[in-house]
Amino acid sequence: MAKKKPKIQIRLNGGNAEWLTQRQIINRIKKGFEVNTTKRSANYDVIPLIEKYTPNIEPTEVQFEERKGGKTKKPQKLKSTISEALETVKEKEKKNQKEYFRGRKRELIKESILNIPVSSVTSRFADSDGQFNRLVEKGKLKVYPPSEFKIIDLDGKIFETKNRLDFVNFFMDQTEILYNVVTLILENDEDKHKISSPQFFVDGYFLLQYNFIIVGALADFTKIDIKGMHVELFKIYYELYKQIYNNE
Amino acid sequence: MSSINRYITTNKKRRAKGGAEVKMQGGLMELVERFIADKRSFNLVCTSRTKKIITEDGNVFFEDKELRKFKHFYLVNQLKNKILDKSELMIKYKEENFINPYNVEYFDFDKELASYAFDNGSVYEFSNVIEIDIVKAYYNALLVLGFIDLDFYKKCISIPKADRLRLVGSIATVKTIREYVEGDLVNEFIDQNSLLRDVWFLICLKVSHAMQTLREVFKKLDKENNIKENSFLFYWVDGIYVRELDKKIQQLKYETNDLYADICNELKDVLGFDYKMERLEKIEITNTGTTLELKVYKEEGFKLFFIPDNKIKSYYL
Repeated sequence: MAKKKPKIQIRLNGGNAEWLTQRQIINRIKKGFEVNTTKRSANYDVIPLIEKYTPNIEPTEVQFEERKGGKTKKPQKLKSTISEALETVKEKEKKNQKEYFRGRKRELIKESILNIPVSSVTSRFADSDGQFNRLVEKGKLKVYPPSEFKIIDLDGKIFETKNRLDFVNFFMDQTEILYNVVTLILENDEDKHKISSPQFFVDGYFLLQYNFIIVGALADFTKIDIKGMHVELFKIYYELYKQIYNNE
Repeated sequence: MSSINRYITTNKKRRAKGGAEVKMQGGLMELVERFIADKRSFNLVCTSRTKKIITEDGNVFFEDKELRKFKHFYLVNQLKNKILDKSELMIKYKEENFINPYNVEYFDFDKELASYAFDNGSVYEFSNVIEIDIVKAYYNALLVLGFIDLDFYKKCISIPKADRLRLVGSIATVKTIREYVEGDLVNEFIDQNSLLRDVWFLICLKVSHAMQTLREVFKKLDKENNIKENSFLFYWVDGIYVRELDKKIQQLKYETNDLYADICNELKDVLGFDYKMERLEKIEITNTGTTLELKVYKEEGFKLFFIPDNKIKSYYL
């Protein structure tokens, strides 16, 4: 006795659900009926049949019908999965921004500062000594040459470090804002000050700027009236500094 | 006769403007050394792949062999101008995005792939792999972000791939200029357009975000369906490779016959990119002893990728 052929539930031309055999479905498709799957037919391989025997239909164009209503609807589950994924990426982006300096950048700066010859730093420092003096007069700040590894802030608090590594660690560990300032300098100062690549790290000039930043982070530049090439730099750094604070 | 004249061929149009330009391959350093010895004044303009000597008599342009085929220089300025015309858009984008060269993740690999680094000489195969990539990714990003219009987009994508990539990359060009006065190097500086460079890193960022979103979607699908092996294999710039979910799961749980096409459509609505999906024959991973090679087999042949050492280290060291 021949085995009974299984029937599959489908809809023809958007009508009521019907139970047909595979052969019958193929014949209907060939005759030009619009064949749609139903939830019950999902267990059967109806879709490959539709794809195979309907030459002009794209797989994505097969519409699925809700059992209750007649309107087609995209599965909600996928939508929520995608919106969750988008959220995850956004959050990661925010985290990246915050932790930017805790990673390789921090290491790069640390390494580069450590590699600067002291002589180069001090000679450059001496060149701009006038700038510092004026700064000290107006803002009551003292900044020692990097070889001495000392910084005094507005309140007279002295940050003293034992050696060069300590000095760098001071920059790195005292406050996270400083890292962000340096990041922004990397991104924003390229055109005006020709500081465009890691090469500038091996130039003492940068360390000098770096000192200014430290001072800048502790002082209020708006109260300091200094003339010369660094004024504009100060303004930029101060703006960046404020920007970071506002974002915080 | 000055030495440069020996290198400059007649070009009536250029000469009418007071200078001539000749394109050359090789011989740059010889010419620079000769100019220095002759105590001439000139500028040497270098990009990563082209070098140009500018003198009062005319210019000499040195290019790589492969660049000789690039015939779309006329589009470079058009593209830059289109972007610069829309420069006000960057104010908004800068507020919304953390635009930074270090913030772009151009690739990512699943930990499982990196684990093959410990298995010298072995070859593994993955079947049922799907590739989803963004169609003409960087141009698509420029279009989606509103920097170029559809007509210009179509014009750009009609040119050969190598030229197309070079064209879009030209917006991020950094030129190093060396000024020689009477044979002495007197100044060296960098010339670049920071706005265009920001646009470049923005489009790279957007493409990488699109890939990361897809990666997260597949991670979530794995979680939802309690699948132990990660579907996500890797992404490289604008293409992502994943293992396909069981058809039955796609049909029963997500009520679709092609979940991946649906994901592409859905993401197009959200992010605006056009995606292209392809079912691949297989992906093969080979540990050659020194590198991890990934061969992505397609009908027309295979694409080759390498898993960078630092990615492997980031997982295991």
